[in-house]
Amino acid sequence: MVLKELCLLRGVSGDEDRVRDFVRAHAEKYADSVAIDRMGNLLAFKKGTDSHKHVMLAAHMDEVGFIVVGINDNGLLSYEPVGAIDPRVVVSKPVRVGDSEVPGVIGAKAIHLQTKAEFEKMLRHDDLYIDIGAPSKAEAEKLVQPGDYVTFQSDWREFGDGLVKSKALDDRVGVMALMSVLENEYPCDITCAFTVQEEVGLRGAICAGYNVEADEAIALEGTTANDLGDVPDPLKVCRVGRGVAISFMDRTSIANRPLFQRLRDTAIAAGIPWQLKQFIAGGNDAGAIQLSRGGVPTAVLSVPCRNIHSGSSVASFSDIEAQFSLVDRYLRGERE
Amino acid sequence: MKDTLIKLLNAYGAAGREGNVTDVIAGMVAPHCDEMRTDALGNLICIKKGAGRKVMVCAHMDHIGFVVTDADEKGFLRVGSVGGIRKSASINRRVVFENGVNGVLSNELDDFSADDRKMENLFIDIGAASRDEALSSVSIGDVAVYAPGAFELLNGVVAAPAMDDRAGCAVAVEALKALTDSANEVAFVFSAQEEVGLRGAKAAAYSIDPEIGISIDVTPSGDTPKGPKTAVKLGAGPCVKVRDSSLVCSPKVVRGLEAAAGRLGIAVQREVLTMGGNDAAAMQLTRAGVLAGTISIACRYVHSASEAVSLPDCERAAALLVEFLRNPLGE
Amino acid sequence: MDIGKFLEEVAHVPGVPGYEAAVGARIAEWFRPVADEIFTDALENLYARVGEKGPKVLVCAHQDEIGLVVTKIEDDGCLRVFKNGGVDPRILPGMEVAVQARSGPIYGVVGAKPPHLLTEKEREKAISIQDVYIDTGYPVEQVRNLVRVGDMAVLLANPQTLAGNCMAGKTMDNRASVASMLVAAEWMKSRGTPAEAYFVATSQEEIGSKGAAAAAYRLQPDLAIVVDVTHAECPGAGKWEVFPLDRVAVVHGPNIHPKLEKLALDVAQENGVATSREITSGVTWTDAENTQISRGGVPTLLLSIPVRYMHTTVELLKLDVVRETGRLIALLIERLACEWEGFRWY
Repeated sequence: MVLKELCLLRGVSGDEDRVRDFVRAHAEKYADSVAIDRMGNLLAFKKGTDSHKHVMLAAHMDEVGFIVVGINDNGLLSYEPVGAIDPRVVVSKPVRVGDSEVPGVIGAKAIHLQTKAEFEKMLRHDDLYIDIGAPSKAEAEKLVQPGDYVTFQSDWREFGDGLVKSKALDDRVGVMALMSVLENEYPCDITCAFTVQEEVGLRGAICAGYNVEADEAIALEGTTANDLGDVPDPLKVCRVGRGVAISFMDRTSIANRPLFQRLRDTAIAAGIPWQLKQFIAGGNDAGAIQLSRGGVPTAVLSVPCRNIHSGSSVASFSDIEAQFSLVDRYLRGERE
Repeated sequence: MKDTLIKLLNAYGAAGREGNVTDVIAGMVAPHCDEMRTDALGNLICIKKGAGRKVMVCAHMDHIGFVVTDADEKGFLRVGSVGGIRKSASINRRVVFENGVNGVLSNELDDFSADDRKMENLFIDIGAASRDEALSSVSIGDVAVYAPGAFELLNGVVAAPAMDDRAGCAVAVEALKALTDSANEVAFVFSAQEEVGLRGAKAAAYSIDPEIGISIDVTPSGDTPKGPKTAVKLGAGPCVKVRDSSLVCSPKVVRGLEAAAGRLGIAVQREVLTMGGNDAAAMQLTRAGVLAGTISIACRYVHSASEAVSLPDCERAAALLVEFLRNPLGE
Repeated sequence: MDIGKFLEEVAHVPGVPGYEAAVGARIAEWFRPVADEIFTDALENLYARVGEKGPKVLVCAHQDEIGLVVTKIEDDGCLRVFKNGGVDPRILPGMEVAVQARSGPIYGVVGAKPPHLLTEKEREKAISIQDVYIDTGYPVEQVRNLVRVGDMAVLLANPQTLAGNCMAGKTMDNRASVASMLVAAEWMKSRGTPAEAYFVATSQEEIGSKGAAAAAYRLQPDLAIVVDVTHAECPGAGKWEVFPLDRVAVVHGPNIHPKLEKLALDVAQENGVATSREITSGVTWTDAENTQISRGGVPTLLLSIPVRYMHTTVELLKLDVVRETGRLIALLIERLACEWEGFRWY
């Protein structure tokens, strides 16, 4: 299954080659032209049957992860997060280091050994290490080196009522939606922009927006769903299983009103499950594309993900399906 | 000036929802410019053609507000901030939506956070008794602003919500009308979404591609009891900004403004703001770089519902702008 | 070129963010003997072109220095200030400064409330920018005639030559990197390297790398080589955030194009340029941040000269490293020029 393969690929911000190669193989079969720009974005263009409008779709290929900054004398690796990762979700987790995917773990001092004060203190990344089992610096250097990118190690696991747990649902779900779009024919011209480095500042999208001159742009994302546990309703953001989340506003863009309304109306008319993203948080590629050159109308469609930015992000297949259905229906209706 | 200002203050215009203000301004300036258009971000761009230098003037139409994110089962609306809302300036104030619905912005008393930017225990009461009733009057995603209502104090001081930056828009409108004999090409941009990150100005500056950019915005004055630590005062004339936290104004523009003021015999105040930002920063960083600066209007109680400016300062700011546009770099 | 002489000279020319015209003009004089073309732009970036055919390379190092701006003139004549660029207020008490007034520079000394007048609590707190003031020694009426709100001020310091071919002074961040560009330019010129290189002393890096954004946009280069300073090994610093004083650091991370990085490391190794590796996890807070995302993207390399005590007036580095950095830049451009035919980034 394509999404599973995508999620299991290594692709931390700055190290997206494998994901890009995977996408490229697919894009070259279906797109009219495929280019890689100088930032590393993959831009796949497909001419429409009607060509009155050029729509840009964006999904980012990168995932959050870590980078090895140094090897200590005791063989433990010091690291920094790439993208925003809450230190609390990395403790006691397995990882893979470098191109050879050397297995490692981010351990923590055993609970038996902690003082009360230590137990209550919040851990920071500076306090943590990746342990690959090497007894010394010299031994570690045979396997890894500073600068190696590190991913969460997380098996793909389908569970519960139509849910899946994996790393990188943010934003391989969007990448897959774009790959599916490329397989179809639509009235309007489409550029599918598979961007890099979204997680470290929307950087790929800044360049992709400059390179692609579109009439409007829609970002297909994974977004945080805070819907379980003791969370007051207004802070849930969106809910897993209730459909694709349409944003009216987040921290990097205010959705273009007419485009937002067209997407919402399409969902309603086609009976596609949808919800609003109900918290003004987060940023995504639309924020960058909206301000490219003289400005572009943008909107965002997201799949709700629990535990986003961790190795155990969770989403619902029905929401993933809804995201694709909505963008597909919308594009089919774009005759203007 | 007063008339223009009041009309602008009364129009609804939250960041991302500037349509009404755009219409009011367009009505005022259409007979006086050669070209007028809006763009993808909602900017209103009005061009007065000329063969000389290309100058962009920028004043932002948008104003901070509260966006509805949810309604609870008793009909109270939950909100997020749009732009730099200060809780302490907002509680128990009258707010109003684009469709005219009124509300009271208030707060939960338990667990009240002292963080001025945290919105989670605020709500808007529109008098609805249930979630359904609330959402049949307003929608999730609608934005409420401090209800308009300008009032006059002594010495030509006027107070109202949205002086930031309808005062700047009024100055730009009056200057646009008064600019009759400039050799330069001037694009007056009434920008959108400044309060959420100078977004409109960034896009507009790219399209216009000016050589010189000048923004008109308000700046906090330091002349109230134990007020902000700045030398700027109400009534002491328009300010020539030297820097704020978003840009260091081009020395050539600072000198150009001071020279223009000198030619007119207008007193100006040199302004250093240790925080804050404005559209000039977006213009300065456009394409291969733009000579950018700001004319500021001293304002008390910025980002509150009673922002207060001096009308004589606004009038002189408009005169300064016109003279600058005729001869920007003092040649 | 005499790197020490260059650094001593430019350290004395004022150039705080937004106000770089004077230092740009002085740097221009140093480039004049080797440049084919010299020009500036709206943001006071200083461009020196060497060569006219082949890959178009942007090499940049920022010319601006951290400084102060006058915010208010008090009734007793002392000047309140704010930072222009990342000044650590703790270095200010006792600092000698020069206010850049209309009539010329005015000497002043930075003061703060003396310790015996501080409360116990105040003495425990680090000094903040609101606590300091500049004393020009003039009575208030004269101060008001000479100085205005908004006047800039520079920190004053004489560079010191130390053992081990070290120099300590102000503006090593980042005029030492400008020196390395000059070394590279001289090398390129003498060898007639087939590349079109623009050596740009950029403006306003300390307040957001604005000059670099404008320069990259204007030039539309094929690639960018950015030179800045990084932290050299010293007591009290985190283990992985400091680097050996005696070699240039080649930076690795998402802000750097891996192919350029590899080329730089290969060229260094083949030519005996000692390097270390600096690992970064995102944007680098240097001009590289803005060159990489200019227009449709510009593959970027970042080289760092290690400096101790950054953002003080005793920034310390090794002059050899400045020279070696310049040599590496020139050799890298030469390699790229040779391989440019059919070169691909991905």
